[in-house]
Amino acid sequence: MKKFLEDLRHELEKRKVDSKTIDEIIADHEEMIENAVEEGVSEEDLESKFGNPEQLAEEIFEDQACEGESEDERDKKLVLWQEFNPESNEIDIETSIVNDDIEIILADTDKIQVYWIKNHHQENYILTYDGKTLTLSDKRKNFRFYISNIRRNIKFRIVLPEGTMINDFNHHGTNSDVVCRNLKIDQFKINTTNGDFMIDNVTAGKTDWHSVNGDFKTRKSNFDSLVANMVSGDISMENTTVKNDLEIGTVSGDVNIRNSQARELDYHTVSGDFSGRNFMVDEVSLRSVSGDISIHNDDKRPIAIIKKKTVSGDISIN
Amino acid sequence: MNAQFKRGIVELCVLSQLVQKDMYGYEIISDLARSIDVNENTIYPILRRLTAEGYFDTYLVESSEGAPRKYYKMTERGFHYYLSLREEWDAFIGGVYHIINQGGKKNEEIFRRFASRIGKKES
Repeated sequence: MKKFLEDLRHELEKRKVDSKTIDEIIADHEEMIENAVEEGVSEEDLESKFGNPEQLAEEIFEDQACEGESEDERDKKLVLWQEFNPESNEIDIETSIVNDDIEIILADTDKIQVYWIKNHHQENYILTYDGKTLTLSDKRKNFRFYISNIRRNIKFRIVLPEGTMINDFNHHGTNSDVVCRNLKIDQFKINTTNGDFMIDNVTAGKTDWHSVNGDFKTRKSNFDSLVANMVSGDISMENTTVKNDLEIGTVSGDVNIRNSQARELDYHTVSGDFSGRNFMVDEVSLRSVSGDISIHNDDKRPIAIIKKKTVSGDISIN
Repeated sequence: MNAQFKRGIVELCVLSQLVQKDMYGYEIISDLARSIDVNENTIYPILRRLTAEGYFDTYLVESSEGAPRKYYKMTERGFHYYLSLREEWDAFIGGVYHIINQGGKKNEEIFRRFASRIGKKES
């Protein structure tokens, strides 16, 4: 098996994998081969168990290629995929994506433009605009395991003309991270498993977010009302205004709010904690097992505690 | 079998093992190879990829028999990923069974129907 290790090293070097990673991969293989020998696997069987070093190196290399890539490097690979002439300044957006990241922004353009990073699975994506709805979806969503090879994720950038009003924005995703920047949205719905969201300078009406493990971040944004249901994902808000109710439910996810305001906060959690710093809110409700609410404001305007139902959690306002 | 299709299934198998206990690399490979036709070539890149994604952590344990072993441990993030993948798998495979069972569940039944359709006498 010495030859296997030598060949593997050689194939990895050929593909310019960095030496630290190569050492690590070789060490892993030395260990696994040794374990196999300890279990009495014969030299012959070893070869069939460990297979072809070239194929292995190629596989690892493909993973490696996207792993260390910075966001900027990735953005440089974005190329125009399709563009449409908008029929009005109102639009609905439906995205249904498994692994790929999406960025939605406004720019000084009179067309709706969709950019992407090309890969060899592009035939699997559908993009349509019927004058009312822009739909971006992954054909393969019904059997995700088929494409669950994480490295295959690509990125989409949807560019809308300035002044565009998004009436309905509906996102369904699994691992897909989403960035929304400078948008006006009326109905804003997100449903994700692991995807993280960055909401930057967005004005939205009724907003409804569901996430299992994904995190939500908002900055400089305004919402009429916001309902967020999370399992272990965290929420952080900065310079954000929720005109009416802010309702957050988590199991173990934490909430961190800074320099923001809401009319009423309704927080229900098992063990997540809520921390507010300069968070101006009129009324607060807590339902928790052990989760706390703690708010610390420079402006000492009173905050009314409407409801507090908790086993060992507490509300502290100062 | 289509390589990518297989890789996706093996990924679910790896996750299903790590959901039960922490395991070292060779242990995962030899366990899986007992039930399905896979080798190290398929599994090792999956372990690396899932670790890079934060679905697994690794730690070393000294072994009395030789080299220290690198154990893989599923993270909470990995667990959620496993659940969603498994759900998709169940839905997909349920759909597949629904389709393939439309022609009948037992071979004799399938054959009888097929034979009568092509006008062949049962032998």
